[in-house]
Amino acid sequence: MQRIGFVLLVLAALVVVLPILFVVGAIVVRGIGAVSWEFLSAMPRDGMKAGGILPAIVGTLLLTLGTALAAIPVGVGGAIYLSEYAADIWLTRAIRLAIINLAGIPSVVYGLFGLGLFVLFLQFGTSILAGSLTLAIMTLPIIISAAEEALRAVPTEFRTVSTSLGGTRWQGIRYIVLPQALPGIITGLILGLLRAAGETAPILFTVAAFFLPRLPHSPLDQTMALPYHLYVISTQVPGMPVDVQYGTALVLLALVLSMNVAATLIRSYYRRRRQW
Amino acid sequence: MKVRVAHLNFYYGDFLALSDISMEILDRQITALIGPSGCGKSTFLRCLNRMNDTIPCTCAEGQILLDGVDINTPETDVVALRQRVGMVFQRPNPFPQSIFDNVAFGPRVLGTHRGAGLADVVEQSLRGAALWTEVKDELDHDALSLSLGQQQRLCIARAIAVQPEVILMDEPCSALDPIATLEIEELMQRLKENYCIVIVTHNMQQAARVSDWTGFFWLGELVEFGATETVFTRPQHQLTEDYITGRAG
Repeated sequence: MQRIGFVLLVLAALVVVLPILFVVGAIVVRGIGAVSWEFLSAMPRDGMKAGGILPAIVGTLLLTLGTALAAIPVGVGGAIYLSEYAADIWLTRAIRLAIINLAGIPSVVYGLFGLGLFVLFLQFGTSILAGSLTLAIMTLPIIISAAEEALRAVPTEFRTVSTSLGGTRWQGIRYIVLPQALPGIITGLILGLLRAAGETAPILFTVAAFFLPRLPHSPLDQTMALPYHLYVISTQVPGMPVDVQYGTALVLLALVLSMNVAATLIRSYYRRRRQW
Repeated sequence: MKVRVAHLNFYYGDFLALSDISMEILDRQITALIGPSGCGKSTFLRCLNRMNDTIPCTCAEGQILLDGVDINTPETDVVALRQRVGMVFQRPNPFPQSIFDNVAFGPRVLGTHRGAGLADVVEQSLRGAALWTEVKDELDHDALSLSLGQQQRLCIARAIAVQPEVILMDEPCSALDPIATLEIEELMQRLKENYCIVIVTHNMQQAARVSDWTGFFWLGELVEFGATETVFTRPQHQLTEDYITGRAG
């Protein structure tokens, strides 16, 4: 009996892992040939069939940076408020529930919302600013709920001790609670920002350019971005060389993965210093 | 006299947890509060530095005079009060940081000391808590690597680094072994030269050993309060005698 259960569990794990390995393997095998220094550092040429994807890489990095700048302070601040200051009344619980539900909304809805609010109503135009803010709004629920959970996991005792030592509530948060919650908060930030870096729908109407072979000059410029570029060269351009498509996918994958690894290292560094 | 409590009532919601408590607590003396679980002694202790404020739906009526000034008023600056009235908890609860950072927390937060001055305060506080010789070479070590007894003395050092006038101890030895308990008790004898100490304890031998004054709480009332020797040898109330001889509670 136990043996059957064990086999089933192993099979379930394989069903999860094998497709991922297959997808990643296929992208690496077919894409690696296209990736060269020129591919990473040059502008696209010949209707994007040749040259590089530099503007798309830079665009995605800028959008991720913009998202981080907008979403991290608001998200962490909101989480601190919800976890440390807000009274536990129906309104707080409703807000918390709404945030969790927001995390499940399809990204295209955020794209349309960004189009309506930032591009049209606030007249940012299709721009890095509008795209970053749209991605930030999409990312916020993930950041807030992960950060709030991390903050609430810090034992109440530490807050009590800080209070008993004549610290204000904010000092207790600043010097004790926040450092303890940091690994969990960073995890939420990574998850949120990685999702933002890989999304197509929210940037479709708010920032992404079909073909723009130059680097952006200001936050109000349009830019190319890797996910959208991949979508374009996979579906909108006839006669696109397959290795360029896979090469682009590989670069996006590598970018997201390396950010993930970097953030995981930061997190484990902080986690090693924590022991409760 | 350091603290004078007059006609203190304390409510958890509708429940009257302390009823008409009056007590005078002397400076540079150890006052012990004894009584069975749930009798209100810890609640009383936490009134003295307004730590009960953090519990919703609680209410304290009456006067608590610290050096003659009522601290049980809405206008009281409770943050400043807690700097004057420090607290040590039942379970050793150092922050998961280095030994140095633990002791430096108060001075850093209050901005009273920096740099070399801060290092001095940390050393003085650790000496004051009889921990300096044991940890002076490992100040950067994690506080949680210390033994429980050392952790509790670290918590005492952390409390005195704020330079309080009164130290409240809520069953500070209940998580410790007999030797660590003895070390804390010896430390209390040294601390009382400089501080007013109030200790809640379940251990009547401990109250008899360390304290100068003893208060006996029963069901939210202060049944008896007096010099420790008197309370333990010639209690005025039958209830006190029953409790300390183990017939009640």
